[in-house]
Amino acid sequence: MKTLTNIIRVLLLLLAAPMAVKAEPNILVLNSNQSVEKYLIVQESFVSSLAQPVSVLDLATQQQLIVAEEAIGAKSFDIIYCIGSRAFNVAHQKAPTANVIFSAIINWKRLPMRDKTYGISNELHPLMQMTLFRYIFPEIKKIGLLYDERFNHEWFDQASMEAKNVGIELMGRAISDANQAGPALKKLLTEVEAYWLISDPTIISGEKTLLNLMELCDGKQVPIFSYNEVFAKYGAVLIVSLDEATVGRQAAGIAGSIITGAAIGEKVQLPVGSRVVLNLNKIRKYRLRYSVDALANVNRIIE
Amino acid sequence: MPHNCQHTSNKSRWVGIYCLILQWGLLAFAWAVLADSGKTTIYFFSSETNINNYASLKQEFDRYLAQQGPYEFQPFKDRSAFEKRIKDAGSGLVLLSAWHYQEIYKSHDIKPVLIGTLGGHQTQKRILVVLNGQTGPAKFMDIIASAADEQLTRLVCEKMALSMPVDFKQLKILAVPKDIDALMSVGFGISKAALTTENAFQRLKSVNPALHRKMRILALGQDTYMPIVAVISRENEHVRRLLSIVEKMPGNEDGRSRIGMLGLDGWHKVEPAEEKKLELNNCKTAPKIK
Repeated sequence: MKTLTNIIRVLLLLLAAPMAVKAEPNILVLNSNQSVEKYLIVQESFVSSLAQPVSVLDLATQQQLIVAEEAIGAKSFDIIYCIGSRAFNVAHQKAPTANVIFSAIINWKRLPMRDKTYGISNELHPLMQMTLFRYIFPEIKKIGLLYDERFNHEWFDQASMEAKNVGIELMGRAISDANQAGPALKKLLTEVEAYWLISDPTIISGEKTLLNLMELCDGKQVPIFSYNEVFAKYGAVLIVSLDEATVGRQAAGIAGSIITGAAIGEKVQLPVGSRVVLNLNKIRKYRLRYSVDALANVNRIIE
Repeated sequence: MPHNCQHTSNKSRWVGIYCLILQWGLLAFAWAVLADSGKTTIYFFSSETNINNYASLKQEFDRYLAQQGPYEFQPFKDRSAFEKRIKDAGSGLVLLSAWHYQEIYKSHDIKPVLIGTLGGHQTQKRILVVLNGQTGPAKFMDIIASAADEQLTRLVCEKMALSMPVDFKQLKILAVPKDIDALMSVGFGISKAALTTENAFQRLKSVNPALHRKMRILALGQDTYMPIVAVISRENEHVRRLLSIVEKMPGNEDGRSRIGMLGLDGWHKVEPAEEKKLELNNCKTAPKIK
């Protein structure tokens, strides 16, 4: 049934263009998996931000993928907005002349880029995260973190430099193995006021390591700051992540500039909308002082 | 027998009277129960922020209000749904931006009672902020980041730019959740200007002084009132009690943290002379271009 629906959708897509009186740009959204809520939010935000009609194809199943590939091969799209890696790979291979905009892809720098490839990166700038840390906890100035030099050496150097701009001293300890995380954190916790759990595969890949780190922090009543809402269940006190709806609007802004021929500054933009989660239970337990007027910037309160 | 019959007839009459009393009693009880089960509501919609925190707002305000009686907080994401609801509600409280109040007070029969305050101020000023290198409005007219809704953003920008040769209807607006996001987007070069408030820009100075130093205020808007609480036409005892609860919120820690979620830390009672100003949402100061 889904395949039939997709075939009909593709036929309608192919028929629509010749019937149009005015030459509207052909815009397509390729969604790697519409059932992923954050992908759907991005898609809806993109579609509602554009005045032009937009076609949407879901690539969740193998059959849907085949149908989408046929559609892209059969019709020339001016702009393809790809949500997730699966969508980007299809557009990059099947539509080499289209303007391709991507988002929701981890580490976009590994992607093959063309002149007409644009995107929104999937990581908030560390300065944005640290600004919000300071906003909510103005008294916390020494923040520790663990990182693996193979993945985050450059990131740490940049973040340390930026930290000075917001009055934070970033204290990092490099590790090369998950087993080193516990002992390294024990030492670090004696020197810092908060621990920043960053996106580092050596640290976040194993649940055992993660739970151990969380327990160590909880034992010392040191708050954990992080970048993904999934860590709320592990007891993170403050989570600053990107706002998906803003990502969709930024992508629509790029599409709008392509349509009007306006100059596009950065080909890959930083996401500029943030989402903040704050755990008030932990704040009370640790007796942390936080800025009450910053609560207006919190999306979700855990209590 | 006749005696017995009369006795039976009297008995039936008394049974009838008892039944009638019982019926009325039950009806009165049911009416009272139904009346009490309907909670008195604070309806909330913000045109000044795009932040999606409705679930937390509802959870936190409901938790606070439930301790005080049959009251609830109802935030709205959609403006037209909010306006329809307060029109249909008949009674209750409304929490909305002063700009929005000015737009709908005539059509919705609402009366302002409290003005939100922050740091003792009832008003705020919107400002257009750019990086230091930006000298003129004609040069930055591509993207303006704003945490306010698009209609309000365009309106404020138009008022700011009375003497600028710019068609503000053609502006591209990037809606972001918070003022701090709008300011950061200018810092990262994604937007050329941010429409924000003086308070938010001042706050940036303390959390990110390096970025604050790189920015300047290009245009100042009018002073406008902070969000306000209004009473929907039919005021009753429940509404009066709810209003009194809301008024007392800044006086206790739990209440302060709840109104902190709205970006406020206190209330100011609306004086009769202030109603007219609220209808105009004008606190005298004229727009100024720097």
